[in-house]
Amino acid sequence: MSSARTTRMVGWMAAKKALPDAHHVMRFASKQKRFIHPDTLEPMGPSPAAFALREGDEGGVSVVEVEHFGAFDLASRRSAAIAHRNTTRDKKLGPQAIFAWAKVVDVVGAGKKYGKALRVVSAPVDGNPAHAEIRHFAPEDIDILDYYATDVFQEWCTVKDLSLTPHNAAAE
Amino acid sequence: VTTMVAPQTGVRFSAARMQPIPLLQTSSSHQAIGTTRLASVTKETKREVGASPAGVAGVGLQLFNATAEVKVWTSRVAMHLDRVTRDRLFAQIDALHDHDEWSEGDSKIALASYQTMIRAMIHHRMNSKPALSIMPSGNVIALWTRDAGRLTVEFLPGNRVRWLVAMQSKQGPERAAGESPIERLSDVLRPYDADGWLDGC
Repeated sequence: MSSARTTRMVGWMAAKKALPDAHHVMRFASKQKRFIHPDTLEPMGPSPAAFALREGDEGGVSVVEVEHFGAFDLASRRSAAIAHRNTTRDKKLGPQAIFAWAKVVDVVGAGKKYGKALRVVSAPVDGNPAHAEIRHFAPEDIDILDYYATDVFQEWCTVKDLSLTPHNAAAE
Repeated sequence: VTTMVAPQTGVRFSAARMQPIPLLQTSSSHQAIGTTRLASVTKETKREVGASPAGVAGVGLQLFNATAEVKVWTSRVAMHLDRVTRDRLFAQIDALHDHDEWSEGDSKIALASYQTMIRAMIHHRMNSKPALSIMPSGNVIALWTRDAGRLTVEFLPGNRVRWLVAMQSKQGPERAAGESPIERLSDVLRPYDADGWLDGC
């Protein structure tokens, strides 16, 4: 069992600490999980695919807590993005991928709208002490996924804008 | 970097940096030629993958195969789609299969889902141009927008769709979602005046 998984399992057995309502969490969405515009072929905002469970979402939807790195500003968002990148196998993120963010209170509140008692809890893993999970989020319908993509995680920025191009990974 | 040579054309393909595949011409004879060529390329690709030391295809090869697969299948129904539509779809698929942007958790487009989308486009004579994305399952998801409203459709294998309408009516915001056979899509969208979106009206 890998050390990352061990950390996660041990963490899972322990009581999870809920994140403060006012904190922000960021969700990574690759270019493929953005809509591709039919005319310009430019990637648009996150699609519902960005919030569907995927590889790596073991205990819930994986996110990164921004305030783990300080105030909610560009520097902290960049640190959070780097922390996310640390957990990837090849340490690379596409420049057109995005990080979308929302307040914890809004994430939980949106769940209530759909009858889900969500919790956003800290779940550190190797390389990413700010890793968190949206628990009890088992989105089986397109409605809730769309709502998160359009009404909850409304703000985002690209990896390129965070100066996290694939080629500068070694420089971090 | 693995390269492949198409046996009939001698064209070399790089697995690491895929280019959009020229497939369809306007005449039926050209379509047949394009299909034959792509089928040869795909066959050759599979042979190369099988012969690799690890026996495991790299991401580039997998994307190449998946892209070729949907383009070859599209050529079989090309008579029902105009060239502009085909080219637009292929360009969007190429963008979604962008090797340089590939991340963990990304999925190749699922042929069965893509087939459902094309059948829906043909059945409903869609003239509109949706934005596209891919679910982790590989299903294609399409987005139409108009004013403050939008229609989102996930194409499922087996000619079914999940759909969502989010719109602003005179009485306030409305959201409606459901799952239907593709043949019923226009009917279920009609109460929300969203069926016209499929035609670009």
